[in-house]
Amino acid sequence: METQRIVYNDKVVRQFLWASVLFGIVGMLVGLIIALQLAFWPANLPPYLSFGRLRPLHTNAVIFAFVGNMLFAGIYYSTQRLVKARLASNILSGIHFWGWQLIIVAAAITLPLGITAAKEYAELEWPIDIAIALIWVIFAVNFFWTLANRREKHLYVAIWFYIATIITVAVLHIVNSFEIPVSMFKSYSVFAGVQDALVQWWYGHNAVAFFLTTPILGIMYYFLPKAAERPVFSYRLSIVHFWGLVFLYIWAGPHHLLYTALPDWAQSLGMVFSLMLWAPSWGGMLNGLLTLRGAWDKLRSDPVLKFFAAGVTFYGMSTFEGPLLSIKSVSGLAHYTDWIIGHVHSGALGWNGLMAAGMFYWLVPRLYGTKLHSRPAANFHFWIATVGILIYAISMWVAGITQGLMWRAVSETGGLLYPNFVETYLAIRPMYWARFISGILYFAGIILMAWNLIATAKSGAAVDGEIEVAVITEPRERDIPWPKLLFGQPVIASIIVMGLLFGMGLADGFMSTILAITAMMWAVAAIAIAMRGRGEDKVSWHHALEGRAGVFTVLVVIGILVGGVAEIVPMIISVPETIRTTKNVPYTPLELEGRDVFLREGCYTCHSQMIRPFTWETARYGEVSTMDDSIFDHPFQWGSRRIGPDLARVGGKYADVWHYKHMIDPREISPGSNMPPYPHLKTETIDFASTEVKLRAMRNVGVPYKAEQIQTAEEDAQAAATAIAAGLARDAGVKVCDTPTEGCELLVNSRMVALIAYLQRLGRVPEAKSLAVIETTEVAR
Amino acid sequence: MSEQKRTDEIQGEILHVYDDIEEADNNLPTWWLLTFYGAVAFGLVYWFHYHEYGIGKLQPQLYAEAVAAAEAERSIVTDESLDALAADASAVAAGKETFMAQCVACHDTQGQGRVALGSNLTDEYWVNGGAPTDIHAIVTNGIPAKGMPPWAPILGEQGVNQVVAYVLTLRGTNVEGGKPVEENATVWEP
Repeated sequence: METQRIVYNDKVVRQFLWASVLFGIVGMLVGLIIALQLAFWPANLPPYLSFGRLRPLHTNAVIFAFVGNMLFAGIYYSTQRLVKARLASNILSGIHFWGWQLIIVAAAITLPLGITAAKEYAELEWPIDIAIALIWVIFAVNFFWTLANRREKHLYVAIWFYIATIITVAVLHIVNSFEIPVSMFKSYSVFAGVQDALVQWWYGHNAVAFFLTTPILGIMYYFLPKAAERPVFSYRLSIVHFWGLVFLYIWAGPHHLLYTALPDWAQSLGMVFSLMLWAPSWGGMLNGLLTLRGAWDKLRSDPVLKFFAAGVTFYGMSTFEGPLLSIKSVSGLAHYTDWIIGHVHSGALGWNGLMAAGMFYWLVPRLYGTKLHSRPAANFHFWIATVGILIYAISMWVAGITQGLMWRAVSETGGLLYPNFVETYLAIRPMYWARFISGILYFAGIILMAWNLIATAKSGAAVDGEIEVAVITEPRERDIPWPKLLFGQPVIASIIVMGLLFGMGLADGFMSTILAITAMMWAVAAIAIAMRGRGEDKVSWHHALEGRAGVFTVLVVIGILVGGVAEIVPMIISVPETIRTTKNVPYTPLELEGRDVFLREGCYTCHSQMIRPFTWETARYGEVSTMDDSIFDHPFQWGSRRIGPDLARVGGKYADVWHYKHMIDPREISPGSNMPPYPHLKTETIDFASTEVKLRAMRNVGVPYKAEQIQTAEEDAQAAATAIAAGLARDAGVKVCDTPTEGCELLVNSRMVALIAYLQRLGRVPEAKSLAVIETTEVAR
Repeated sequence: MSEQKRTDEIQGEILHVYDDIEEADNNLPTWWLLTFYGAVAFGLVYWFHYHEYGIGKLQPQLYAEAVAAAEAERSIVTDESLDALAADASAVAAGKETFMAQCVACHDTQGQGRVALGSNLTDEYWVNGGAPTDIHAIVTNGIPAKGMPPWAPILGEQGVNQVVAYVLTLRGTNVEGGKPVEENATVWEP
C-alpha cells in the first residue's frame, strides 16, 4: 500500500497557546485589580482605570483572549489529528491568529478609553465587531476546509462540539451586534429596551454555552482520554448530551431576566429549559469522569489528570448551580448579588481555567518534543488553584446570600431593616477581601504555570506532529444520499414533537393539553423505535450522519435556531405596538448625551435599572419597572449586578447638588460607599453640535423623535445644560463657566451636567413631572 | 477508525477508534435518564400550571395582592396621636436612631438643616406646614420638587411615626448656625 506523510500545522497551535497564557495573565491581573477596587475604593484611578471601564476589560480578556486563544489551540491541534489532515491553509491560520490578537489589542485600548457599546460581554464597538465577524468566518473556512480534506470519514464527538461552537457563536455575535453607527467609535443597538434585553441575554447566556462550554467539552473528549489512556465511557451518551445541549441551551437566556419587565411566558420558558439543561450538562461530566474508570490511580502522580478531573467536576458543580439559580424564587434572592459572580467563576476558574492548564501541561511537552520541566510545580499549581476557587466560591456565596437577605429584610416597624444601601455593602466587604486573596492564589498558580511551560519549551525544540497515511487510490465508497439523513426517522420524529409543542404554545387550555399529551406519546414512541433498531449490525442513522459533515452542520444550525426564533420573533413583533401606545417620551437631547456618559463610564456594571415586583424592592427603589420605562433605550440598561443601588427611578429623588457632590466625592454624601469618584466629568466637554447626529441615529432605530426636535437638538441641549449649571451655581455656589478659565469648577457643556440631566430623568416621564411642578406651585401659592 | 473490535475490561466493547482514542458504548445511567425525563415532565407541568390553566399566580399578581393587603391595614394618624408619641421616650429614641441614619445627610445632625439641601427643623418656621400631621405627610410622601424622597416605603408606618415624634421634639430648639429662614416659610402655631 502506498503511503504519504502528513505534517500537522502545529505552529499555529503553539502561537495560540502562548497567546492564551499571556492573556490569561493579563485578564486575571485586571480581575485582581477590580476585585481590589470593590473592597478598597482608592484602587480606582479615574478616568481610565476605574471599575466601570476595567470590568468589561476583565470579562472580555478572560473570555475572548484567554479562553478564546486556548480553544483555538485545542481545536486546531485535535482536529488535524482526528481527521488525519493538515489544517487547510497556512495563510488563513496566520490571519486567524494575528487578526484575533489585533482584536484583543483593540479591546485593551478602547475599553479603558470608554469606547463601549455597553452590552455585557459584547462591549466592543462596531468596527471591532465587524473584525470579530470576519476573523470568525476565516476560522470557520479554515476548519470546514480541513474537514473537507479529511482522511477519516466519520467525525468524532469532539468535532461535533467544534461545529456547534463555530456555527452558534457566529449567529450569536452577528445578531447581537446589530447596531447603527453614529461615529467611528459609537453606535446604538437596533433593539429597543425589552427586545435588546432578550437578545443580549440570548447572546450572553449562549456565549457561556457555545464559547466557554461546547469547545471545552470537545477539548475534553480529545485530551482527557489521551491523557488517561482509557477508552471514552459511552458513545451513546455523547450523542444524547450533544443534541440535548445544542437544542436546549439556546432557550435558557431569559433566566437572566427573571422578574424583570420581560413577558412572563418568556421568563417561564427560560426557567424550565434551564432545568432541562441539567441532565445534558451532567452527561458531559459523566462521560468525562467515567472515562477515568481504571485510571484513577494515575491522578496521584499525573498533574494533567488532576486538572482534568477537577475541571470536569467544577463543570458538574456549576451546571448544577446554574439550573438551581434559574428557579424563579432562587433567582429572586440571588439575582443582582455576588452569588452570580461566584457561579460564573466556578465555571471560568474551575472549568475553563483548570481544563486550560491541564491541556497546556499535556501539550507543551509534546509540541516541543520534551518532558514537563517540573511536575511538583504543576502539582502545586493544581492545589493553590483549587483552594483559590473554593475560597472564591464560598466567599461569594456568603456575600451574595447575605446581601440578598439584607435587601429584603423588613424591620419591626414595617420598613426596610437596612434602608441604607451602603450598609449591605459594608456587611459583605470582608468577603470582598477574601475574594481578593483567593484571586491572588489563583493568579500565583497561573504565573507558576507560565514559568513551568516556558522552561519546558526551552528544554526542547518546536516539533510538528507527523503521521503516515495510506494514499487513497480506490474510489470513495458511495455516501448515503443526504435527503435520507436529513429526513431520517429521528429528525422527522423531532419535527413532529416540536410542531405539536408549538401548537400547544398557541392553543389554549384543553386543546393544548391534547397536543402536549400527543407530543409526549410521539416522543416515547420515537424513543422506542430507536431502541428497537439498536444492536442490529447495520450502520445507525447517527453514525451515517457523522460521515456527512455538511448534513451534520445543517442539523446543528436548525437545532440552535429553533429556540432563538421562538423567543425573539414574538418580541420583534410586539415591540412596535408598545412604542405606539406608551406614555413614555424619548429622552431630550441633553438627557441622551447624559445617557451616553452613563454608558461610557460603565455605570451599568454596578447599577441596575430594573425594579422587580417585590414589596421590599419597590419600598427601596419605587414602583415596579415596566416595559414602557425602557422602550426608548438602545441599548437597554437593566444591568445584572447591584454593587450600588438600582437607578430605574432615581430621577427627582435627590437634588442636582446631591448628584454633583456625590459624583465628585461619593463618600462625602454616602459614607462608606465604594463608588469610584468621577471628578473628570466636570471638565470633559460634549460637543452639542454632534447631538443632532445621535438623535437621527436613534430615530433610525425606531425612537419617535420629531424632525424639529432633531433640528433644534444643539440649542435645546445647550439651554438645558445652562439651566442645570445655573442651578448648581445658585444652590451650591459652584463656579460655573462656558470655557475653561482660572478658578472654574464646572463647565456648562460638561459630561457632568449631561449625566445629572439623565439621572434626574430616570423613571420620570416629563409630562408627569411638569404636572407635579404645577401642583406644588399651586400649593405654595 | 479500525475495524478490529477490542473489548476493554472496564469500559466493555470498543465501538470506534479515532487517533488512538477508543470509544466504548455503555448504557446511559438510569438515574441520569430519570433526571432528564423528570425535568422535561416538570417543565410541562409548570407550563400548564401557570400559563395554560392559570392555576398558579405569577409574581406581578402576588405583588399586587401584597400591596392591596398592606393598604387595607394602614391606620390613621392624628395631631393628637403624634403629639402623644412625641411624649413617649422610647418612640422618640427610636425616631432619633432613624434620623441619625437617614436624615442627617440633608437636615444635619441636630436638625438644623443644610444650605441648598434640607430645611431647618429647629426653628419656628415651616415651608410645607408644621402641624404634626403635615410633618407626617411630608415624611411619608416626600417633597419630590425639593429632592426629599418619600420615606414611608423605607421606614414603614411605625418608622415614620417614630421619626415624626423625634422631629416634633426638635421644634424650637433653635440650634445655632442653623439654616436661615427660607422663602415661603411661615411660623406655625398650634
